[in-house]
Amino acid sequence: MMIKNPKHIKSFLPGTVIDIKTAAGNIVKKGDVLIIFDAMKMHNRIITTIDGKIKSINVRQNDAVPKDFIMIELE
Amino acid sequence: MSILKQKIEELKKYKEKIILGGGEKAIAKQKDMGKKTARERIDALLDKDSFLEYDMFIQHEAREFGLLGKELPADGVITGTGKINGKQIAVFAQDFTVAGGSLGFMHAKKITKIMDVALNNRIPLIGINDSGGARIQEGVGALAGYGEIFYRNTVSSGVIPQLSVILGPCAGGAVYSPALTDFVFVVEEVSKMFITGPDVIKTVLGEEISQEDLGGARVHSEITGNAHFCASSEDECFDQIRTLLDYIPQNNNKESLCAAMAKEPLSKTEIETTVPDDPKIPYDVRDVIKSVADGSDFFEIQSLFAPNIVIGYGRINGETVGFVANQPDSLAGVLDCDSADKAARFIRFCDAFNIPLVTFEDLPGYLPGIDQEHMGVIRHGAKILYAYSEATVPRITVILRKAYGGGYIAMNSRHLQADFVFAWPLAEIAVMGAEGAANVIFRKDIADAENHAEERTRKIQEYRDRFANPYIAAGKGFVDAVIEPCETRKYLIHALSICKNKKVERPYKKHGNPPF
Repeated sequence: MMIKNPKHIKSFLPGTVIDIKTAAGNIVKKGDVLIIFDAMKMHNRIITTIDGKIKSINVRQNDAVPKDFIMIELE
Repeated sequence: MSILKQKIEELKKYKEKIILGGGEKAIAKQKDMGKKTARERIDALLDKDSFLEYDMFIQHEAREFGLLGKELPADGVITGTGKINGKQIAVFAQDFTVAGGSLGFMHAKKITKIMDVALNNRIPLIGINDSGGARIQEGVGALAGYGEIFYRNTVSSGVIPQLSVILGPCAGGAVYSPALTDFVFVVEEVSKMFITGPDVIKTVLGEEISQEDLGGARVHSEITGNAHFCASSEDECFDQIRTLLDYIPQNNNKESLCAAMAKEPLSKTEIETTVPDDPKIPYDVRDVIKSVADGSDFFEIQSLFAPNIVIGYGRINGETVGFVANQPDSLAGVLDCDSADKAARFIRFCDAFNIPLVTFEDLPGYLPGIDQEHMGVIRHGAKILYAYSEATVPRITVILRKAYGGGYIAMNSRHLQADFVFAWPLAEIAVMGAEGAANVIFRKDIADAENHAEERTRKIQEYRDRFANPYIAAGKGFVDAVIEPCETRKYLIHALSICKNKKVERPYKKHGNPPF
């Protein structure tokens, strides 16, 4: 469906991963910053909108990623 | 017993029966759904003992399908006038315990009568929606009712504030009355709004979705933008309504604006450190708003929808102002279809009701992308230009950091006839960001250089040093003053006082034709 899946942390535009602030297996809380993502001339703070546990991280530092790429998955 | 006394006793009994609505069983069912009854809602929302009910004894005239002679107390809607925060309001509340709050011809008549009372007397209208939809047995009579309501919503628009409170289902044609009003309030797990419900969607399209996922409170607060305020309980929702009514005037007459006692912001001293020096580092622009607003109080509207732009009310020196601010913490603060739409509607409300606008600007521009272009970012983006240009209320802009290209023009620039434009020393007012501009302007120099990368870096820096500042724009008079962050409130107070009697004449027209 069209409804956003909050377990999928996606890139809102093409950009570059500046920093990854978490690791697989970590417990995260709503509002935690997971990734610093360079796009639109900004080091955007990519946050989680739910509490959860990191299932997988699909990017590395300095990766250039396309739009709507699932950078992190929560369990 | 005298005849009068006897008649009074009869009246009391009659009223008691009507007040019971759909009866104890239906009331218990309503409570099981976690909902208050219509009368409890009015009591909870309005000032104590201020409510006066109209048309309690109304009778429906339906004859078909077993409705002839069937009692529907108050015809399923409570209407009347009363006070909130000591100010007059008109209200209707649909009673779900009576025939599912369904809208029949007389039910609609009661609503349109109270809408006329609101408009004629220039007081806000609050509609509490909790209805299964049209009363099918009344056929076209019910449809007529909706049409009469929509017409009055439209005629009242811009004259009196209209608030819609969705406290139950609101489906089919019924959704269009809230959509035509100024502010829509929803409550989690209680509110449901859609044109066609899950059953129809499943039958026609084969798609399966729950009511909550289709048109619940979160959906309308985050995705569709149909709702302006989302609460977790009916009581919290009523608090939000009271707060909103405290900020906005009773009608579009300037005299109905009412000021509060002026208060100093709580966090004034922090303004220097709120905005990072590095334009690539995001921050929460609401902290800037709070650092200039009286008591640091900021009442945000549509906080979950298009959060890349922030809108809401606060006070400066006691007077209500509407704040519009790019939010660097969300999508870098870009303008896009939804944020332009959100801001434009807010700006138009403020203008219609004489509320001055204060804009905080820090944005990289419009959001690029195929989906934005194909969703119509041209016509949606145009709405914000139209709304600002059209507004004759005092309009003040403070450029905090980035002000590039089309975004700079759109955010209440001098060129759209802002009354005052101030810039902080960190402001970068330019045709585009330094990297993009240097790549275009110095393309040949970069191509001809031995070391392209080095030359590019040097040229970007050269551009940044010369143009990424507020002084080029200030040199042309596009910015009235470059100010220290800590002076912002002082300048805003001064500018608002200068604009107090602002008068701008527009050429006669029936109405404009904004890019809806």
